[in-house]
Amino acid sequence: MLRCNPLYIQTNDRAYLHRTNHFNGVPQRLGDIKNDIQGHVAELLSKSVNVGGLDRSVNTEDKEKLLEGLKGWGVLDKDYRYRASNETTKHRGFSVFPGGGLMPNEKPSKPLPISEILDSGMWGDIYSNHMTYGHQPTMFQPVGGMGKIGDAFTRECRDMIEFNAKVTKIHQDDTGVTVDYVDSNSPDGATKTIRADWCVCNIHLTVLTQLDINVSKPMKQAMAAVPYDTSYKVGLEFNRRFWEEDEWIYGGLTYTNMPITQIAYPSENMFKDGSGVLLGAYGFGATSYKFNTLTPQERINVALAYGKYIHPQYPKEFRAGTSVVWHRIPWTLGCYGIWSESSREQHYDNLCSIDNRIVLTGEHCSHIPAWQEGAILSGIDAAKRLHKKAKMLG
Amino acid sequence: MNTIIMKITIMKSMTPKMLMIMLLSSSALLGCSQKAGDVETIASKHDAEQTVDYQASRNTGSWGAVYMSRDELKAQPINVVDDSSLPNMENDPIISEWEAKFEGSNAFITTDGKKLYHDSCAGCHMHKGEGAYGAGYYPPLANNSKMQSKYYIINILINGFRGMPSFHMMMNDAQMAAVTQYVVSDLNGYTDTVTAEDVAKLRHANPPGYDPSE
Repeated sequence: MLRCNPLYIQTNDRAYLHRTNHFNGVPQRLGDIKNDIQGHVAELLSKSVNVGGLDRSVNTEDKEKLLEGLKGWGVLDKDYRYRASNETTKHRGFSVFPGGGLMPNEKPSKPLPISEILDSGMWGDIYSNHMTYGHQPTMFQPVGGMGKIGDAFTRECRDMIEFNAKVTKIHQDDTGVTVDYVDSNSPDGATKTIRADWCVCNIHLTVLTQLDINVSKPMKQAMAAVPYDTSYKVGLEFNRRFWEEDEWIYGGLTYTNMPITQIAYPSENMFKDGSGVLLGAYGFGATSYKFNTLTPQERINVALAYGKYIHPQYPKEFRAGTSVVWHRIPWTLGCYGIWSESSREQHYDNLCSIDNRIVLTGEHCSHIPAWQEGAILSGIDAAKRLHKKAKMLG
Repeated sequence: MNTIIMKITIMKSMTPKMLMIMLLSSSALLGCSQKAGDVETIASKHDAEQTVDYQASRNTGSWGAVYMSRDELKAQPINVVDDSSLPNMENDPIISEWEAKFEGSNAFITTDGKKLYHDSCAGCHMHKGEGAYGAGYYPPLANNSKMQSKYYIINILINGFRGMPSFHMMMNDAQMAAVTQYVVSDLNGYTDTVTAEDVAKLRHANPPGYDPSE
């Protein structure tokens, strides 16, 4: 059985948006920026409506409704201005939070200037990431992380798995498929062979294109048409969960223009004493190629050097780190298959079709690149099709 | 409870440096017109905000109300995370070192072939160009007779090759020429000269994901 946490938090308004060259390099709470963009844009739009800027597009009746909506949505004052008030504070949070007894009186917070928000480019982090379909408010993850799904398969199928088997050749004929392999720990040792009626092959295309495999020319062309993207991650363990204790951040993501690109806060073990683990860096593109070339220790050094400008607690609380760059994983040689519209059009069906007795599976055979979901759905679909074909052949 | 007391102690022991920075950042935004008219621009729109405290969302005000008395809160608010110990980013020698590597943006900026090689190719083909061997392999780029043809290298940079992604969008002609030159001369000892024009000749609008070996 695989237990799921009720929550995996992708978007948390208490997490930060950060730009080294804006807001004096001070990270800003995602919720503040989101609310302030909404308020400022509502103010500008209502101004445009009020001076007749939209008269060609909205009639008088719609105009009234639009203004009413903008006033409520942007939390504007009676003059349609976005200004600090008790009302705006209900949305973006307090400068001094309300307490009990003779605790300090609550105080409204102040909006940030729209000019600086626009200059910073933080808006892009919101609409490119936080507002996308993948950032649902309710998400689930297995207890212990997504890797537990693979662990569960291993546990259930243990008897069927042969570890450290490096495939060197896949050969099909009219009656079955023969696979040659060697022990990856002694690749010069004896070649072993296994034969079956069918072969479901989930070897990454980066590796598969280097193997001796007899499939049709269209499938071979498809296999060679999928380059693999680059990505890096750094995990950092700290002596205490300062992001929770000091900064009230429970889960979610911080985005920055520094090479670490993101910090992700754990959705597990909240409020626990003792150490906690952050995702201290995660990105793509040229920065990822640069990360690929570093030693594991250097990658941790980079994550610490930059990350401290978001969380100054880093140097004092750091305990241990680890990293992964997918292009350096010997059995993947890359992170995931990159498809374009034209390569899908030309090659996708050929890649996924059953080629006599061989069928390919994996995230590269799905419309959900990089995700386990894509890999598993491709496996389910391949099994269904293979079952049907085997039944037909009797 | 102990951690709370400890935190408050930390806050109180902070230097006034932070306060100075906050006051400066606030005063820099003063002096704008207080009148909000229809002619205001986006850039001047914050005039009515009067002061902007960039530390506001994590300073003692937002954070400390339930931990601090009214009197304590009357003191100038300070940042709950003690960033007074941080060097200014421009003066941080560790950052300067890594900025030389990361070039201040998610892009290849340099046109130095050696740097480009060690920032991109070396991720797979390794720093000495020796390649790597696992379930599959990364071919060596050093002492490899295929590297005699600069156009072979440029073609792969532009179009990618099987699992290797294209650098079409990430490197311009001069950068591709420089990194090709490094592979041709420094890693293989060939004397051919590689120019941006050589790259321009092969560059095209849409790199297809085709396999040149087919």
